[in-house]
Amino acid sequence: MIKFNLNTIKESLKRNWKLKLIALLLAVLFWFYVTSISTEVML
Amino acid sequence: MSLLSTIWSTWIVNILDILIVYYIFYRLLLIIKGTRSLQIVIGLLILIFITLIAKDILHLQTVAWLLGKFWIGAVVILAVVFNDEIRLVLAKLGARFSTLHYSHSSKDKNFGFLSEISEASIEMSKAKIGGLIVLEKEMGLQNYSETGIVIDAKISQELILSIFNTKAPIHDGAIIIKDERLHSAGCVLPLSSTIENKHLGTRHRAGLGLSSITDSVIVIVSEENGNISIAYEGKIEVIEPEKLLDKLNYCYSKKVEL
Repeated sequence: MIKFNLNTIKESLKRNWKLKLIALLLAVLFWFYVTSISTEVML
Repeated sequence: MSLLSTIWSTWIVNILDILIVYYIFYRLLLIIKGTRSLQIVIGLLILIFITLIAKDILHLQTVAWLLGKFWIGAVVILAVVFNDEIRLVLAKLGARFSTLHYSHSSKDKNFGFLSEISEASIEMSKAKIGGLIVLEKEMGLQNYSETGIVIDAKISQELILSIFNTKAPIHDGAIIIKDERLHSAGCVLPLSSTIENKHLGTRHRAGLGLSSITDSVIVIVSEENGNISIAYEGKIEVIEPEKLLDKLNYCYSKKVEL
């Protein structure tokens, strides 16, 4: 059975949180950029 | 049903898409963290930002054309600049798939040769003799073995001590252990270029350098203070002599993680 330990999840989120935040920001920006390009192409 | 498919196509797919891209970016950032590549990435991001402003906001045609031409050639430039990083990611990916059988068979297996290495390291530590022992796992180290002398002998504590004897001609390099045999000695390893490791000695930096580009386990005995360290997955830590064998067993049997 899989048990979700809240503390373990918290710790893994805290580890390298700055890098995770930068990666998430980049991913969101990249997603917006790519979707805007594909919308332009469709138009 | 149509509501579910709408939620799926508008939200879940997009969130999944972003999360996958996030994971790729996060892994890439982890690899380049603390290296010179980070500055290059920051420089490139600034250049992307300038390109977007010049092209889409200020509509500067000549600047946009010039930067556009640069980005065409940028693929080749990036491949050259990130040569090591690209190699590392692809090698880890390949090793992960090729070691599925290895990770199962190695579980709970007793690696007898590790106790010989452990005992030799402890002896060298007591006598303050420097040593650098590389344990090859799934990623081949042929290019590093070729820089030394091939020995291909059964591993024994005495043999390791003889190689690292300060009067021996090949004591000043690394020994590479391959397929539970002492494959070669006097090998030259790549030095770690990470900025925060500049205080480490050459032997430690060499161990750290190899561990950050391969899946090898590296035992380093300091000539200065007799400390025994293990470099693995780009990290180095000092190990108490009594815990060395357990740590070696753990690192050697651990499967490759991407």
